[in-house]
Amino acid sequence: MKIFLITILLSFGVMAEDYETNYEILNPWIREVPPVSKMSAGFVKIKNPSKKDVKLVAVNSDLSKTVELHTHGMVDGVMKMRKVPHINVPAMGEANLKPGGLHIMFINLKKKTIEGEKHNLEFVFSDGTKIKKEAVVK
Amino acid sequence: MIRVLLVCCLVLFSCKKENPYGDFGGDFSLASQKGKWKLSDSNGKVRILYFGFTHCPDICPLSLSKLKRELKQLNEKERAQIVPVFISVDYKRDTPDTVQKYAEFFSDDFVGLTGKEDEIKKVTKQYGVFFALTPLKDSEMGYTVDHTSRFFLINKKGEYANSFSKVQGNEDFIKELRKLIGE
Ligand SMILES: [Cu+2]
Repeated sequence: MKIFLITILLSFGVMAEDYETNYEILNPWIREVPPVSKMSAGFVKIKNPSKKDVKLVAVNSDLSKTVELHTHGMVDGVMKMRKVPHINVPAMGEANLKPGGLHIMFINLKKKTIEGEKHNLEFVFSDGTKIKKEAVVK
Repeated sequence: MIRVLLVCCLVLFSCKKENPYGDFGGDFSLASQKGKWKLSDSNGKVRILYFGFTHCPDICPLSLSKLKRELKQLNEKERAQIVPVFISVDYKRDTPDTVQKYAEFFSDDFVGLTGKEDEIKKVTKQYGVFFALTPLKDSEMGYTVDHTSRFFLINKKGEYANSFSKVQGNEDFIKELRKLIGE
């Protein structure tokens, strides 16, 4: 019984590690905004080569007081931005956060966005995986 | 005699209606960093209007930087004939000073404007621009501003001439600007 439990625990450990190295955070970047602006947006492509769907549930950063996940929708030429609880990254698929669509929303910036500067982002997934990655301002 | 006068009036009237867009667009006055800014005060130049808000993290900076990039196709003389104007419809959060600083980031000669609720409602109605201050549930933003993303071209006489949803890589946009500069 003990061995069985240990095996299960070990395999969980291995699985968790697998996930961690599995998700790919590609080219994260932050939009340079006028210094007077309190808001900016971040973009990234996330790949999920695993066989399980996962959700991006949060992004942590020192760049702003608050970081949220948002989306944009164009309806009859009107741009509407909305908050989303999470962003799905389908199994063997990807989530693409890009201008005019899904984005990381930086609210009440603590620092100015300066082209070329890098900021640390931590991507938090629904399975508990956390991945740190630098994002460049452009 | 009366008949002659009537004919004259009719002729004058039809001449006045030369602008095919009729009442669409037109003069307006809003608050700038330097005080009241009236569209007709800059007649003689071609104006480009874009409506947005400064808490806009993506669409507004993207649109304005695309506009900036496209305008680089014009030579200095042509560029000097153009006044780009950014109008914030976020009358609750934005001040003329904030909007001016925001707009200037994209080019020194950008004009930033905003106004009181009734003034914003009036000018957006004139230009067929939709906007709504929309509460964002559970968001630190409090509310966002849904808004039409479009560039409006105003000719040298202060009349609405054309509008574009996309300016990047759009040859028609530059062609139209050059036409209006030449008028
Ligand atoms: Cu947003």
